[in-house]
Amino acid sequence: MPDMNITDENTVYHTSDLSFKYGDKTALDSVSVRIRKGERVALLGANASGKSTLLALMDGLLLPSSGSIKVFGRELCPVSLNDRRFVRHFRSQVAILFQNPDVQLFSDTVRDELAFVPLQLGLSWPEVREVSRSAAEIAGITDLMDRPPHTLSGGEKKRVALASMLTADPSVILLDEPTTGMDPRTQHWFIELMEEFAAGGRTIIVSTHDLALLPELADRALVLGEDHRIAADADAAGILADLDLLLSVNLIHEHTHRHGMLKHTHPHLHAMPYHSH
Amino acid sequence: MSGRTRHDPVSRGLAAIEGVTVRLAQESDRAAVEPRCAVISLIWLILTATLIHSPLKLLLMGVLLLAAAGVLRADLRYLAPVWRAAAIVAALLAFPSIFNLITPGSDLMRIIDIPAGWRSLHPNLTVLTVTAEGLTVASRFFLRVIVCLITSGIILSLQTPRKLMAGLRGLGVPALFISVMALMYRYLIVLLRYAAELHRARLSRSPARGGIVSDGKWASVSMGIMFKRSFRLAEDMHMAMLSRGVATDEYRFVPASAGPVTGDYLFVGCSLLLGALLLLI
Repeated sequence: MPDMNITDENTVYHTSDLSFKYGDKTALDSVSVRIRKGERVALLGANASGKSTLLALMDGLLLPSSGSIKVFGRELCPVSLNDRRFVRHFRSQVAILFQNPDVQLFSDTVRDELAFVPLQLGLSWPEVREVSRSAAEIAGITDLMDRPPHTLSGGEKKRVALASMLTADPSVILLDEPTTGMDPRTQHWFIELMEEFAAGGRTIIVSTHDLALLPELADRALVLGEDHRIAADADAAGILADLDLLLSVNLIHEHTHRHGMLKHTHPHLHAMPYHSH
Repeated sequence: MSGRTRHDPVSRGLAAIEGVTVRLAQESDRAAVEPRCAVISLIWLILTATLIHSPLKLLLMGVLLLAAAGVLRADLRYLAPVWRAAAIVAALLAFPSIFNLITPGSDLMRIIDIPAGWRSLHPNLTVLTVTAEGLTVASRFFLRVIVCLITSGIILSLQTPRKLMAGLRGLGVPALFISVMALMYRYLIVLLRYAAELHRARLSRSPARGGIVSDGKWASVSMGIMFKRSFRLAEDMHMAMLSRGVATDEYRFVPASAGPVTGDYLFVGCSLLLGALLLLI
């Protein structure tokens, strides 16, 4: 386990006793983690365990109720988030993909959508067009450029949202349940794209409860328990092998059935790689 | 929402509104007047319509605008569902003002003697009549609404709402105001989808059509749900905007155009002239 008090230049995120409450309801409790440059980290947890909240805190969209969160060595707090130079740098380096693409797609057409982030970051119009074209090619959406986002299918919206995120060329990518609503082909494309990004040195932090995709998406997993605390922080393969842990955090359930006269109980999750009797 | 829709009025209404909003966003077949010129013309013509008092002049303005729409080949047909609804609401609002109860004046038609018990509301009123002044007020109000609808229809057939908003920004309207307007416009479609989903969910669980009371209850419950959803959506959307680098006081827009050309100046000139002539004659 790394020493949580040391922040070096390779550290992207460093949280210390990070807690967050919605009113009097705890969403995260005393989370201390360090994420280094180029890591592929999965946030695992059952519904309402605090995964999306942690991502929102990492993107500076929420502020901690207590504890602290640092990004690139600087604390995310009202002072830093009112510092325009820092915010511009932070927003160009960190991008988030929301679970519901509808909240992310504001513009009349996909073309305008892709122009949105580079425009806000102050790029010139020719640069904006070039960046948008390149992101559209990466996401395979060049044929959708003149379509209004609300007329797209769920998978297409995800692609557009992802392309829009890429226009900032971020070094840190936060993904909130990215494969929700994707068909198998799009999922496969998405996983390959994430592998390319990781190979390019980007830091990828992905929240999911889809254990089948975990080995493809991450090397390290942070498991959030239903008490909103970190239940485990280890390599993805080790987490997948720890069935007691997965049962305790409600990521798998026990399944009882009969084989003739024999009553049989085993951990169960559909599509899980180790699902066997 | 494309294809055939159910034959109940709510489904048809929602589909019609969505059809209009989708059509509004399409750029392909527009004559494309420079957005700032389009905005100036729109504001001037609407101002003219509000300053004109004579119903005959308003009628003339409406006819001239329809002729202009023909010359510009502006397709106004897709706005028909919105126009119909707006015209009905305007007529309903204007209707009471034809009576002497609202607009006293010279009587044109006697409707009914007011029962003695009701006279305490208006002691001097013994008979309900339609007045000439009332007809003028009602027709003025109704025609103003129609003229404004035709004007906005023409402008919207020449430019997309997004570019008109960029034009407003180009004319110095604060970015915060326009960004709120832009997001309202964008999320109108998402909320329409929610409304359509709610309605379909209700239809799927209702074997027969309910009466007015049950429809009313459903409508009020739906409005509550929509309010909650729109509130949540607004929160999420604000976060998505912040995460994508938006600073509300320097919200940046896609450039509207390279700048006005001769045809754009001609368009503004004709609009200004039409308004000025109607105000002066």
